[in-house]
Amino acid sequence: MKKIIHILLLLPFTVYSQIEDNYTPICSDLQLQIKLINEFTLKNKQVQIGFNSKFKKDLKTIYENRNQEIINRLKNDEFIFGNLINTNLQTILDKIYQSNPSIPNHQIQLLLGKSSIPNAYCLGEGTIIINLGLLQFLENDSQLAFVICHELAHFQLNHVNISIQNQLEVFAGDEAKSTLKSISKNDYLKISRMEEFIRNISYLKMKNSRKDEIQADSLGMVYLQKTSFQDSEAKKTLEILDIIDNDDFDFDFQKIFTTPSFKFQEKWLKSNQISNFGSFTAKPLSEALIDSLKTHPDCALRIEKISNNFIVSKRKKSEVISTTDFIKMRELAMFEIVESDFYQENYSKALYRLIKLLHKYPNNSYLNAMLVRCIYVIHSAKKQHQLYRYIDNEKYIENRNYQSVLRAIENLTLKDFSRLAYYPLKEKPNLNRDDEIIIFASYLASDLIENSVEKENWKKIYQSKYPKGKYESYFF
Amino acid sequence: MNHIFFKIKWVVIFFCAVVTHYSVAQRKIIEKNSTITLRNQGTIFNEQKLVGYYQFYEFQKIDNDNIEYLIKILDHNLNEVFSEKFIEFRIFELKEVSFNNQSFLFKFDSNSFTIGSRRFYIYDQSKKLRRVEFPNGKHEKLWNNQQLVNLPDNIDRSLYSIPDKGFLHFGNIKPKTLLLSLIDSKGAVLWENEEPDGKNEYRTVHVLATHKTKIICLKNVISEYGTYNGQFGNNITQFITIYDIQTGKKENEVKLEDENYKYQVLSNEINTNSTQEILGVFYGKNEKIDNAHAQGLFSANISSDGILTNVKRTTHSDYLRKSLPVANYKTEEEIKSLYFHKVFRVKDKIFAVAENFWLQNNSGKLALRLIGANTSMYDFTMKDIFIFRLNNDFTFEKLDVFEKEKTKFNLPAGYGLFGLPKLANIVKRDNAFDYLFTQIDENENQFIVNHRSAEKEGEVDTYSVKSIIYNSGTFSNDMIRLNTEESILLVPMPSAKFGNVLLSGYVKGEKRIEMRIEKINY
Repeated sequence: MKKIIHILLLLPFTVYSQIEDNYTPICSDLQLQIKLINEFTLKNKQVQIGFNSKFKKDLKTIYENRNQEIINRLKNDEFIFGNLINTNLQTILDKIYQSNPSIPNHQIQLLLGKSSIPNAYCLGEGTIIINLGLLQFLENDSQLAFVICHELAHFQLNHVNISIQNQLEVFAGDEAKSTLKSISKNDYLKISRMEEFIRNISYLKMKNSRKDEIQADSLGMVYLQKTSFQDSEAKKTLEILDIIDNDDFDFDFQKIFTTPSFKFQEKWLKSNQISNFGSFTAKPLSEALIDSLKTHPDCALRIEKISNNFIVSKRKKSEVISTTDFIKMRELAMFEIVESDFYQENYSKALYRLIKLLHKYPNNSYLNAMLVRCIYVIHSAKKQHQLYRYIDNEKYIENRNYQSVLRAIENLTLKDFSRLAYYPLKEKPNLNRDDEIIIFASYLASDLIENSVEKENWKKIYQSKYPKGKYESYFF
Repeated sequence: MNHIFFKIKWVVIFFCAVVTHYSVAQRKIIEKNSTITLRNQGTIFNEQKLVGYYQFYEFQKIDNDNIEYLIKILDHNLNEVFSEKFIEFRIFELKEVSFNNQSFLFKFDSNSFTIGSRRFYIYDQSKKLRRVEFPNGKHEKLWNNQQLVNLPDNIDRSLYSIPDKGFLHFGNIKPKTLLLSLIDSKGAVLWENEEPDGKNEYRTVHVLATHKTKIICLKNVISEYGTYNGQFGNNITQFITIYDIQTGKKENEVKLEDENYKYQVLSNEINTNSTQEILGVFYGKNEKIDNAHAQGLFSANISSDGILTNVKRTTHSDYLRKSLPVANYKTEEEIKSLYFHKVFRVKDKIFAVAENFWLQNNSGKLALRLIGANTSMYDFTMKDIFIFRLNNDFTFEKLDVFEKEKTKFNLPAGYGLFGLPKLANIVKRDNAFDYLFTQIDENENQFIVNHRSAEKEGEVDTYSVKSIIYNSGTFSNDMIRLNTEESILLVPMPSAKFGNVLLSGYVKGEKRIEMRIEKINY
């Protein structure tokens, strides 16, 4: 344990000094991971429905499934343990506990998810999950503290369990049973009647869910105001969440990919999604329907509620985690998300994030090498017509930079795609060619352009410099 | 894909929103009662250009006789354009959809005797689907012919769009009359033109191109229809017929025949010049074109006055033997058994795509016949894809043969008596040739020939779409596997935008249809 603490203390300095030139992905603490798997397995065996409910059997199944889901995700290595970010999260959580003794802290388990989805959520039995994807958007510790307070409020107000109970009441209650029975019995107008049944239930669920969010904001603010964190950042957090899908700059593909021997062509970014049906475009869902289906109320409404109900203090910035350290932690999260997306086989997302980070760190070995690895796997999937498994569909994406990346993936021919990996890596002037990951990437890039002599050469270089290197098994 | 009934789970956004927690028993009831059925799906063209796809669903029963149907229109990228529900008789099938920039025209078919057998619906700028009423009711009394004529890709339709003007419709009405009509973008009939058929004769019309004032059509006059002789090959003559677009009056008609040869058109590329080039194959003067091997390829021009000029021919016997390896093609019958799917021009070259076939004895089927099975002793066997390349002056340049595994088509009992070329036409009618479609991008000097392929990989049967890509003088290949996942066997749709193949399949476990566009690597 002492060793882990020692490593953790050293980690910030090593990571931050490296990030300009290189990056080494986090190695998660396996022991903590195994300990948690055991805890959840035990928890799952002991699921008890404490209160009197006619849906005891259903509730037991739901809770068991919920625990099993976490166990599976733990086994799939979807969380990070024993890292600087975990330490910072725990520090913030401890500060909240200190100022709010009413929170039953022994029941809370804060997990750091590897997912790139910007989200934080409470599972209802004490587990709160914060995704790396959310951290990349936050600006300081107070914002993160508000997110944690909001989730603690959900736990404290028992929102998840009450919601499950309510849904069962509505879905499996006597009235629902009788309606479904009547639909099943009658051969005619089945779908219309079923639509109406589902619509009513859905609207009710979404309405309750939005109410819960407002409540959690409110109690979260109460928790936050008792701490030394800046409560004015709560509104800022919601403002950030409101525009989370937008990038603050346009990608410069020329800057990232064009080299003396290779020119990135703007035509590759053109959309092929133009319909031949002109004005006969898809009918959008009615605004009323969209609003009714939202689980979260608009951020504007949430901000308004906070503004109306709380007087924000003129407290100075908290020093729990300095802004500089927080920003560095955020950068760390952005690098980790690339790694996570790549290993979760979300290759188009990984490629998008790599290009984004390369604008800031053009000479980072890890990013340049991962770019080649990413193109290599996408190339392979494209060749085997398996691309649909690994990339998102442009039509469901709102971020214009990500759309451009997806268009390039679709438009580039296999040959151009190979060149896209090969030339930037080969001709970028300030890369450290002795880095293990760069040698490995050079090997892959020469394989892509089918230069077997160069490929063998890189293989020999790797084997002589890194005889027991971590990419050894990838050579063929 | 037409006429296959698939069950599909009705997935709407509010269904997805509630799947988090609820009892398993309730979930099953909901799934069972929220299932709609796909009746058929197909392609939508604007002139000769593929613009999208339609899906026709049986949504729910209204009463004993009526069903609420759902039509979903997708663009060529599979983005939903709109979906509309309407109530109609329970026996109802969507046959064709056409789009002309202003509106969509839908042609339905019903085998019910209680209603007219055909119905038309229109979806125009008002964004509402409504039934088209024809004052004289002729359009509702059409009948379908089973024609055994080899036609170019995508023109075997009865609805053709004239952009921003209307829709041409061709059909046969009783008694023995060809009905041509122009329906405007709001569903009103602008003109109707009837051409009576002769005894034992009927005719079909397919649009090759529309100009500002003219419609250039390929007309098949099929005689000996329904006679004893007709079983062994109908006497088919092709005409290029030019109609006035304003009145529907026939302006000119050219018989595709001269003193020595009969010609069959296998090209459908729109030519915007005043002279329309036609390409295809030719036969001997006394041969029946649905029951004879083509003797070679031809090109000709049709002037705006309807005169056949500049006819050029190249005969297979001059070069086929020399171009084919003797080991693979031993007999003359094997060499000349070629079914031509398409003849087209790319830049200054002319290409013809053909598929090699023959009849193979199947001793196993003899045993089946003895125990009463309704099967022929012969298998119709398809083999390699041939691509002929001709120079601009119509001289033979090269023959590229693309080998593929043999594919067999089971013939019903007695079909072995028909001539081999007639059998090939039957196979074509049943869409059973391996050839799928050709995509041409003349600006880029490219074309892609797509065909099916079935191979054995060890013990496993693998199915794929193979693409032969021609790019500025050289060929390359690509392959898309159709059975990569155990639960799905994807089926290629009959057309897709250039450089892509549209695949569709039924995911059994999830009770849903998977449709996706795969880009061909080239």
